[in-house]
Amino acid sequence: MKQIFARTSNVTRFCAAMERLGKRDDALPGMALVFGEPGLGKTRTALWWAVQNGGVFIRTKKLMSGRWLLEEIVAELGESPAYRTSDLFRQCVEQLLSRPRTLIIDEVDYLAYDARVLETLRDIHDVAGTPMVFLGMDKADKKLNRYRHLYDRFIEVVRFQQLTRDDVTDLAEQLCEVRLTGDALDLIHADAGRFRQVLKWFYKAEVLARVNGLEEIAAQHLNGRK
Amino acid sequence: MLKAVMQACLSFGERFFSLTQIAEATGMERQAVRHRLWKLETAGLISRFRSQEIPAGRGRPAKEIYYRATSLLAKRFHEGNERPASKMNGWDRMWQAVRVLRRFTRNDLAQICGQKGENVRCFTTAYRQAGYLRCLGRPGTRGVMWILAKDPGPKRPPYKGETHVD
Repeated sequence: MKQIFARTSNVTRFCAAMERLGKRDDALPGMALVFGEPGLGKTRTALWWAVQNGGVFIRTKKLMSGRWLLEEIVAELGESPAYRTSDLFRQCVEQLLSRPRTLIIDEVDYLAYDARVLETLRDIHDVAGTPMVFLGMDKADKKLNRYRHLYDRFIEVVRFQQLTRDDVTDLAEQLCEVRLTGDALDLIHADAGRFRQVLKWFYKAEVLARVNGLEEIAAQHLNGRK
Repeated sequence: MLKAVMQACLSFGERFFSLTQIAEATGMERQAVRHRLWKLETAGLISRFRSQEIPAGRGRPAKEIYYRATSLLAKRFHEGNERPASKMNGWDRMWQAVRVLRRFTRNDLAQICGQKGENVRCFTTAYRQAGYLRCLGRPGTRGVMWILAKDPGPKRPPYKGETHVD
């Protein structure tokens, strides 16, 4: 497998949304929601983007309270968290004002039942004006839709979708070290719509080619190898 | 808000200005302005000229402080307006990715951080020896998992042999 970050249609749409978020008009809010089924590469894509663009990646936890979240954000912004919650909030805002960075909040579904935490994030966004990206699972848009004040601030909503046939072809060209025939790609697409599963197929195809000395892998080679 | 205070301070040029003048110019509360001015003063961007108490009809007398901007203020203000470029090097990026992933393979790091396999190998080896990473298997084996064993924070820690990390 080649060691590069593969660009699928989901990644392209994510990058386009982040580009628009970064270049938005000052009067517009700067929040985005990215959601989709597990295994489609949301977290990986967001992490890749954060690493390349200096974003701050926060992974929320199920038991997270508002204070815990603020502590995590302040620590990730490079400051030592203060004791009082009000000071934590102030630290957070001042850090973001002095050096604006995009905040990426992963697993935002966990926070969907705690209005106080979500509203705190909204407060940070309103005061500091920093772009904020929420990553959530399949029903994240419906869960967050209950908070109208928050949902209205999402200027970009990106849904990660199952890989299309073209995506599988692109991925094979970008990642797979062995050539796959059209019927092999059809088979992979029919069986696996998710990134992780497609990678497993590519790995199997590479092993088959290496062991049997094949230059091209067809569907007949892959059949029964799932 | 700090930007607004900095802008108001700069509008006075080389002249002295008072806390009240900045509060009027920015439309912010006096206490908030005083806090920002204190921050600018401690950072050496403005210098305090003098302070005096203004007698009030009742309660504690208000304090009027006079400042003057230093040449650093304009420089810092214009620096701050530009979007800061990412000064992270490859190892900083890998450290950030490791802290998010927690469990990873060398391939994951190479793909996400856009680093060459050799650089990833040096990184994992250096931090394994420093005790920050642990390998769940024989290091060097294909597809072996690595975990973050010690997380000292977002700033990449120095490893043995590295004298300065910034």
